[in-house]
Amino acid sequence: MNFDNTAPIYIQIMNLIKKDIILGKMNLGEKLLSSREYAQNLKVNPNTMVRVFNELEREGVTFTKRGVGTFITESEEKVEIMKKEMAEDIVRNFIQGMMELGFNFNDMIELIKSRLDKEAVQ
Amino acid sequence: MANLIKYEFIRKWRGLGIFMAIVLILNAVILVKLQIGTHTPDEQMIALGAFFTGILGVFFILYIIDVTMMYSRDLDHKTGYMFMLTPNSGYKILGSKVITAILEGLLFLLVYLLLLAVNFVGFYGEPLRTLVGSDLFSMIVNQVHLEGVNLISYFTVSLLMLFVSIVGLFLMIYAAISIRKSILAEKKFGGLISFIIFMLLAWADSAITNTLTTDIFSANSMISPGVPSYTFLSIQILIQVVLGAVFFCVSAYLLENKMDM
Amino acid sequence: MTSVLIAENVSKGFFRNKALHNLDLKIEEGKVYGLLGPNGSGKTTFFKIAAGLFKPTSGRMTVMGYPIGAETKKLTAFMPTDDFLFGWMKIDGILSFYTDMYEDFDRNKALEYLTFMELQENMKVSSLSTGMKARLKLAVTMARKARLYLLDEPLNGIDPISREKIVKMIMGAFRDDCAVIISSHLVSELETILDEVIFLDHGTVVLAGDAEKFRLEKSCSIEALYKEVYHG
Repeated sequence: MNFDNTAPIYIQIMNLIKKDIILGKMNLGEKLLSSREYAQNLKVNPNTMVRVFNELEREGVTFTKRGVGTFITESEEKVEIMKKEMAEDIVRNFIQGMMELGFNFNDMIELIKSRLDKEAVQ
Repeated sequence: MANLIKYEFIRKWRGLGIFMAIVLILNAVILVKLQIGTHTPDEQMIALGAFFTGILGVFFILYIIDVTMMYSRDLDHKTGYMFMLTPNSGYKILGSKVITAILEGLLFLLVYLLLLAVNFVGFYGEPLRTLVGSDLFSMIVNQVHLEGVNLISYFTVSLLMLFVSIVGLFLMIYAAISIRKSILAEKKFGGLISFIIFMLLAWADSAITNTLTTDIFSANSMISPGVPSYTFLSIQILIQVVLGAVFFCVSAYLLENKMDM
Repeated sequence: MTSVLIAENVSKGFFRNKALHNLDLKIEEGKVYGLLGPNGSGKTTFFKIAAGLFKPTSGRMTVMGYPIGAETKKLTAFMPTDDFLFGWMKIDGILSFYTDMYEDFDRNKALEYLTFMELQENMKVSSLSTGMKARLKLAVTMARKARLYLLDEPLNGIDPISREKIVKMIMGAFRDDCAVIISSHLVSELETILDEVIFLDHGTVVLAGDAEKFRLEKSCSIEALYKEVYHG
């Protein structure tokens, strides 16, 4: 797994897991592998995975059953919120980037529209 | 500590083996040569005597060099890290080298005596018996015979003195090397500086020994011309042991606390 | 958090030529530390003092509370850059040596690592290439169950493909009750495994802290941060 070293790795892993949940690759209520197993699979420091698990739990994306393991939330509502939050992040970054290039809001919308048209054709 | 000694020997057995092989070959060559030509028993005794005296000298020099290098090599080369990283105190590491040196010396001695036995008793028993029975030999032995002194026990004490002196010698060598390594970071001229320090220590050693023996204890030194008394020898042995212990402790302390590898 | 290694005001050397300068460091268990800095910044000197090979001019270092000595050598596994293994020995002899000298040495684990590194027991150390010697050193070091691992440039002399293997091996041996300090120039290969980074310059700590925190705050990789610290 190749990570972008310019940003915290644990955040990148969290986003990966969140995406998998949103896309249904991981089911609600499903049990996660242990943090050590994840660390080995992703080739990262086990402490990084512990951080990921802690943060996911803090955000309510996962919950831990003592002695049993860590599970994905069973709340569909939570997943919807997560989806929205991630989408908002992407949009925010997009707008930020475009503003830095000097685009105004209308131009941004135009650009999006033309891009979506092209995507629709394919 | 047994492990340290084990690996010191493992490290040297190849060199030792080669050396022993050379000695055996030389011995064989001489024996063959003596068999081939016609020689008188006296000539044969002289030839073997020369060989064994020479070999003794060579043994001793190589022994001292090997014992010295056992320590200096570890301090001056990175392979010393093998021992220095192990969880052993400086006392243990140095102690293992000293014990190895003693064992190695005994090994050399054993081989030497075996060779003597094989040569003289095995091959040249007849000439040796002639020599021992000869008038010349009896005359020498009578010279050595001393008033009121048991030859065997005196011989033992002298041997003890010899042993203590040799061990004392390499403890002094180790102390010189330890002092050098503690004060000098560079390896250049290391051997020379160690040697100078050794000379100083040797001078101090003999000065102390003589002062204590003659002035303080005013030991009656001689039984007869050139032959020291029991008291004299005993005091000297004691002093050598104490000084040796001092040298050892100084070296071990420096090794543990003041040296960079 | 248990401190595995504590360095208090450690200096090495005199006058202008100090290799270490009033160095203060606390190494905690369960973490992988990157000791970073250019040549001459003091990384190797630091390691050698911690390993008991060098003696500090002033200050003190302790491992698990013990002053550096025979007791700490039991707990510390140091892998120097130097060629220190007996050249005349075969690899199986080296394994026997380690088994005899270190209680925490796991010969089976070492054999696993050797296989992983494509080394055989009957090879003579002096016949090994630089890369093979480096892999052997690492194998015997990581096969010990030490509390403190000091790896001096473990990726040096290793080809790019094998480096990933080495990192995997190091992380495989890493446990909650140990601390690993890796010194390296090759920061990029270590990015994903470093918990904390310590930047040394001229024998003193110029920057230290949590790696992820640096990434978050500075929006750059540790490699980029390295360039910033030493060129900026």
